[in-house]
Amino acid sequence: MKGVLIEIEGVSKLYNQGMPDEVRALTGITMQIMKGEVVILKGPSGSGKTTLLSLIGCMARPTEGRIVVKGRAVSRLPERFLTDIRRKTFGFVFQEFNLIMDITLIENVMLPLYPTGMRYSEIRLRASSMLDRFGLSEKADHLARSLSGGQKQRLAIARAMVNDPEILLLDEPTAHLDAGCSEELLNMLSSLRDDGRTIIIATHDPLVYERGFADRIFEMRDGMIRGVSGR
Amino acid sequence: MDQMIRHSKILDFAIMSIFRRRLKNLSIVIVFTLLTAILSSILFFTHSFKMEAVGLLADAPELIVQRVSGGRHALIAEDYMEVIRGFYGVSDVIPRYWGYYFDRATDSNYTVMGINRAVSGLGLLRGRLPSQEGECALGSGVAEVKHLDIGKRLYLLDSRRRVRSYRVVGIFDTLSRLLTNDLILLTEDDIKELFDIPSGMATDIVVAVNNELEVPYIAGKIKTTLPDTRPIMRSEILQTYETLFGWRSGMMLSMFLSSLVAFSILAWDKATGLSAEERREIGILKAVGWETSDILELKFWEGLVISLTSFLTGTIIGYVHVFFLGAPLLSPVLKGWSVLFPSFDLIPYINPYQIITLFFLIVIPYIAVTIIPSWRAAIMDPDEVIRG
Repeated sequence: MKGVLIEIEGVSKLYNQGMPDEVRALTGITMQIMKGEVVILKGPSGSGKTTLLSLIGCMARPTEGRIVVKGRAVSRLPERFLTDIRRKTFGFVFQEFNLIMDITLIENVMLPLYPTGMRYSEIRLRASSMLDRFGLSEKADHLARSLSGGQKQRLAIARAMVNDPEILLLDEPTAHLDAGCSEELLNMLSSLRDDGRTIIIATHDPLVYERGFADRIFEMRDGMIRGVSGR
Repeated sequence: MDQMIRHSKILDFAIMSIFRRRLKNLSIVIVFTLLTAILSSILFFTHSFKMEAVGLLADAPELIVQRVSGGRHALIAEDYMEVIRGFYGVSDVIPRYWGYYFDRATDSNYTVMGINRAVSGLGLLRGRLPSQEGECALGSGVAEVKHLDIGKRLYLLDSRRRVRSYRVVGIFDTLSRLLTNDLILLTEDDIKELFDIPSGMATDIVVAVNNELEVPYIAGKIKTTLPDTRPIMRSEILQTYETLFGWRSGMMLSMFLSSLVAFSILAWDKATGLSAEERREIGILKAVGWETSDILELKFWEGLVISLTSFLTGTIIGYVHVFFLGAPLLSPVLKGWSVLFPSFDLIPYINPYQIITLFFLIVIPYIAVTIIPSWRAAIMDPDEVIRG
């Protein structure tokens, strides 16, 4: 590991701030994530894992506190810069996959590359090789809705990886997978870790955090970090 | 170059998105196409009709003098011609003999006219003009409804209900057919007998003037000298046409207003109602690295393709409806009394300003109502949009 990649200082997040249905999702989170590290955010549902993952991935802004990614404070950056950071730095795998179900697999993987200056043939080639890497090339022209849960998960990872991001964020990656598919996914993540990629996983699945491939495990409850364990 | 590639890929994705939501988009296209077709039909019809009338009146006499009795048009004594001929600036004075003939068999109204040098600007399709008693030339509309051709005979009832027969020697055609379509041309003697016009009387008098600028002056002088006459200038007839068709199209547009509003509400609802799925998709695009401007561009292309397709299809349907099918849905209202005439086809005149107006009425508002809700979703954090 070579230094701090992400710094989080006193981050809190409120949803519907000032409204009767205000929800405090995170309180005073402070942590650092090193380059090439595999980090697991562990905790029950509603503990704030997904919210923290969203804040790290520049998908939302903290109500309080500061987040620094690669030395750049991102918490108050204008949307345009955040988009750029999201595209170049992060690959996000959502719990519900968030695929566009009525387009083909290859089109789903091509999505992050559409607004770039790359030629269509080039982005198609890149998306194809990504599908190949995750064992989905035979179904490249099938609609995403025709896939099984495990295949959708692999497709979501392929889409997250197509921009070759430095940091991969996964939200409950085994939530919709059976034991066999979960095992397959974890092997895949191990190989991504071996590439030197930083991986942050939010999960409450023992299969993931007991496997022992994470460098550190942050235990979360009620929007706060209650403990850290790790190698 | 990179930017061009980027735009073309977003356009590709927009077209793909339109096909993905084909049911919703098809219903929007149908509604907007109908709307455009109705509006363009009204505009094409009134403009073309007006242009035809204006074009034909270019050949019309500069000044016509009618006699008025009890506020109504009455026959005029040919003696008046001598008085008018005496005015300085008048180059020619010609009597006209004409009237309307209602044909019960075809439920049509014809214009019957006596031939002389006042009848000008009539192109002949084939045959010749009547030169002796018992001959006639017909407008193509009359020939059509009466199933007549050169050599056949036309039968009319005179004012005493006696049957009169005329041999068809020519069939008219002009570019527009508006003037000659319902025309039956007879010799002067035949028309006088048909309508029982007493000797020494005419239907009206055509006055030719050397200097066009002097027409109002001469008209005024005729009115003063012959107080029971009504001089009608060409410019007044033009003005009447302008007013008539402006009023008719306005009335037509008003009649369609309620359906326009209903259509617009439906279209607005369809276009602006961003479904949960569409919102989620915007969130996904943002999450994978699309900028707000990329999403707005995507929505712009979607709106442009849908509204432009509707606009072009609707305009073409309007064109075909008016100029190929004879505007069966509009003519009863817009033509008014002239529905009694034999039918005729309008010549396509298109006013580019009307097309541009239509474009701004259909395309621009649609793009705006498509972009605004998407913009609202696109400026939110992706996490918030996806969570809904």
